[in-house]
Amino acid sequence: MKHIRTLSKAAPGGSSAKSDCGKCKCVCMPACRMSVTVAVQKDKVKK
Amino acid sequence: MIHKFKAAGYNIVIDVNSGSIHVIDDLTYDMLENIEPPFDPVCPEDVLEKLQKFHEKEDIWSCYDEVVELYNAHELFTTEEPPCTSCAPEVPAVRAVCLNISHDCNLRCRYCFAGNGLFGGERGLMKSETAFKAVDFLIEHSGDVNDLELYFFGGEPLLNFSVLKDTVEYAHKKEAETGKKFRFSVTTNGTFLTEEMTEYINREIDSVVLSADGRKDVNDRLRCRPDGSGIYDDIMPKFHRLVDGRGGKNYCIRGTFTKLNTDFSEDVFNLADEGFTSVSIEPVAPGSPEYSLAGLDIPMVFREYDHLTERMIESEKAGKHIDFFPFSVDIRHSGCERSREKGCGCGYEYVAVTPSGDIYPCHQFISGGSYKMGNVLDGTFDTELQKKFASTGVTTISACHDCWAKFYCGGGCRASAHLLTGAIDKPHKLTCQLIKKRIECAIALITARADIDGIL
Repeated sequence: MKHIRTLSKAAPGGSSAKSDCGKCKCVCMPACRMSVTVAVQKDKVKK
Repeated sequence: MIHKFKAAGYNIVIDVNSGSIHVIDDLTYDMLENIEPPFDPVCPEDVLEKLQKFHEKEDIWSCYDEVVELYNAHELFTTEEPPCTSCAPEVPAVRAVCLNISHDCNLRCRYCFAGNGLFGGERGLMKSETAFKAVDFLIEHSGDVNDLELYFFGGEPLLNFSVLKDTVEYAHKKEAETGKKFRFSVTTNGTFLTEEMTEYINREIDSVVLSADGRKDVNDRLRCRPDGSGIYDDIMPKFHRLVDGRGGKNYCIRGTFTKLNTDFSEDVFNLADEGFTSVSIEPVAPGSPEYSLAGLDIPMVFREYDHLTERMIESEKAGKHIDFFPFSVDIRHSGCERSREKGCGCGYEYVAVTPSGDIYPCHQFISGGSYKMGNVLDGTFDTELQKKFASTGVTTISACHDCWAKFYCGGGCRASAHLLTGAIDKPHKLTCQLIKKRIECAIALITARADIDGIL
């Protein structure tokens, strides 16, 4: 019996991505005053 | 550090430092209450004894083994914080400018954080020359960043449509000269959207933010003209035309909820039923006692976020996907670590420019007049202040040190902190509570989607 199912691990290249990587084209700046996100999730969940 | 919670029928644990997220059964949930590193090779007798009241011994042993396995794989109880190196340049690059091309508005929305478009100052429209200088400023301070962004904002920016068009043309001219690439966004209340404007925006503007609060009665109660009349019936056909014209892509209907409509899930689904599936309904900005949320409203708002999560899961099961922006959390932390640690970039990679050319850390700082950073017309820019914003993040904000949500929010909204606590590095507790609740709901929703897709 499996007690723990891993939903997601941090992306291996995520933490070293360069500032101009284009992954955080965040639409929150003008749109939201309480954004909780750094990027809209587009990737499929990784097991 | 770990954080575990229950939401939408799931038990979830987040390993804060590694960013790993696990869905766990009741036994694991109970076990994590009772154990922490360093781990013995077998489950300690006292833990076994305590958990045996509710669980089978064999299950406890196997569960313990799984926990230790994840610990050894650095996916649970990770102590090492992620490194902070690559994205902290000494001189930060500016990559986005919010161009307030109109400090004027044709509406008198009762909760407007911008003082009906005036931002606490005088009514006015930006001149083309000022907008061009802002483009030059962005290019000059962008360093080696090539992808730049211009947000047309107000007030109501379509009151100054000719300057918007001039600026897009000027930026394209500069692209050819500099090799930089611009993306454009506009936020509008929609009332001026003619067919010609719509066609232009869909051709030239990469993303649009359309302001509407949801149900007609909710929208028209607070979003109205100077004579008090509502605008819902006016804007909805225009929004449909615009969204249809861009193939239903790269738009967001952006609304506000106040203490008068804490049942805002109704507004999200009203917009979805209208055919708009990219929606953001945010809490009203603080400062208006009649409408702003207070501590007493929080339990009700929490219940509504839970309710919205459950409704969205049911909708997902029925094959109807809704993008609710506040629940769009990047669970794989695939953005750069600078964003993880420092949030939206306010004041160092993102600034706002007023019609008179003044530069502020973001559009929300303009009204108070604090933290003016310079002016695009006289060429001044306070890089020391820019560095102050760049160096403010979860590693320097003391309230973030022991917070499980820090790598999701990057220390929260600096403008909100400044307004509510008087300091950009002192987050407001109530705001933090709301953010954390939304992150939990977002992760529960992502979990449910994985479950529905059969990949959990």
